[in-house]
Amino acid sequence: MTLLLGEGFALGLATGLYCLGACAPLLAPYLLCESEGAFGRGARLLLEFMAGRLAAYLLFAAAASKLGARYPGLAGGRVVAAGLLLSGLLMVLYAVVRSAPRLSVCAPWADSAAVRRLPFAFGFLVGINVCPPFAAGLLRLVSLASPAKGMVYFAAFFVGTTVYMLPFLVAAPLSRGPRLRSAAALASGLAGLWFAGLGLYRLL
Amino acid sequence: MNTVLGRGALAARGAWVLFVGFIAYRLARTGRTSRWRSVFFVAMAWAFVFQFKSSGSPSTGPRALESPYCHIAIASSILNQAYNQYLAFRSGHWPAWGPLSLGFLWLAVTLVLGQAWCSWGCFYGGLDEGFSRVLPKALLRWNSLPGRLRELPAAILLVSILFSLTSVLPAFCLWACPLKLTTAFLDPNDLTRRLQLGLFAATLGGAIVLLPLLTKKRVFCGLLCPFGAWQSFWGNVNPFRVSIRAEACTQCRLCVKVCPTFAIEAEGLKEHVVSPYCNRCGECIDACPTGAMGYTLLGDKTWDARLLLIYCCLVVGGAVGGMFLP
Repeated sequence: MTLLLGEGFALGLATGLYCLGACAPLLAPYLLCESEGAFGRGARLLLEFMAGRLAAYLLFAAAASKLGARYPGLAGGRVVAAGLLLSGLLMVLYAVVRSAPRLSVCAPWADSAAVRRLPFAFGFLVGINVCPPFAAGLLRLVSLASPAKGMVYFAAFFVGTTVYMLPFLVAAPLSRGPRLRSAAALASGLAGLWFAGLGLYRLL
Repeated sequence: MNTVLGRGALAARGAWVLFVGFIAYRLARTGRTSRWRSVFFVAMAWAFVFQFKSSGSPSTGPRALESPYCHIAIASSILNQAYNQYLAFRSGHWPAWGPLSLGFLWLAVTLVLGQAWCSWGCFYGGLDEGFSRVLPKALLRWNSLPGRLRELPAAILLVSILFSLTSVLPAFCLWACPLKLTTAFLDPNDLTRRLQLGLFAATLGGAIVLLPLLTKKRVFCGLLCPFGAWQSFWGNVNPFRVSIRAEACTQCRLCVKVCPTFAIEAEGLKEHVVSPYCNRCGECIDACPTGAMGYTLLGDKTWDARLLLIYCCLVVGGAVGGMFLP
């Protein structure tokens, strides 16, 4: 088990920069917009995001360990593209709600629980996006063929990649001014359009 | 390095110095700023276009050493430069110096001009400025932006920086540069490339030619340029400001109407505040019927800083324009 933990952690540490690439365009604008200049609030949002990622990793680990051998196309198929499309659309919606809170369509959502829970959803949807290190981990899961072992392996992988997410905490104190928050909300929309387009392209 | 200039090159430099001198004379003589600034600014932009397009590829062409760095690419790939010394295209002798020298040059320009770079020194800005001045009147009225869209350039900057860093590619240059229409591509001739071409064409045709022509607004500079956003965050380190004297302002909103980059908003005008996106172009100062607007140093309205600003701008702008001479 220790060996499995070490292996997962090492893979995460060695390839975490890829994860940074997948998360940064989504996470940085969100944290800039929502942290309100408070380090603690930024840290809490980051933790929620990470919890979403961890949930996605564990779910995928369990599923891939169980079903991976039988359905090898599971990881790279439409599920991932749909996740990308969905996360992109969520970001666009979030940007619209944040940028135009006085619009009658947006007003009920502006301070709703759904918007407050977005970091978890973002983390989950980004978590199921199969990047090269994630795919490498999935191949290992198929060979493990045990959901429990798979979850341990991916939990360690998650911890390894998390090291690269810590610099995002810097975003929170940067967002004191309204200008940056307003720009970050629009940036979420632009990044969301990109992700949605990419997801759609892969789906088609 | 061969520093001896031929007769033609010397004549071109002499003509440029005379041109800049003539602009300075007209600015001082007429007491109006924007019209003659515009002549200088548009001439510089077109000189750049001709020089750039005639020099071949910016990284390998025969004139590569003279091609300037693209400041838009620098702003949107700033973390790439810090991370792996990546530059959008290599030219001149800068590769030997890297981000440190570019950073020093940017700091010097920002200290001297601040946000005024966008209306006096930027060799792209003169393009949409030129098209915005072709027609005497706007065919399409577009005086202000929805408040939340004001920060769109900053959002584009933020997204460009993040995507550039994470993809280790210059995101803005690959997807939105309006001047890249005919230059080399990294991607093969597939859907991605056609999409890029479509976006380049849309940015060039829409934001630099068509909308400025119809609305008399500098749409690319005011709404899309990531360097303009970059300078809007740092511009305050420079002392020049456009200020409004509350006691003389009648709230006629003419300044809101004529501002080519949407930098004066009705809400801000009520507080006599100009947004950080102000390019110091002088359009509002020339248009103001009561003389309530003017150039100041750090907002001190007791002293007119117009001539000092013009001097600084023409020195820097003249030097930049001098790079595009044959």
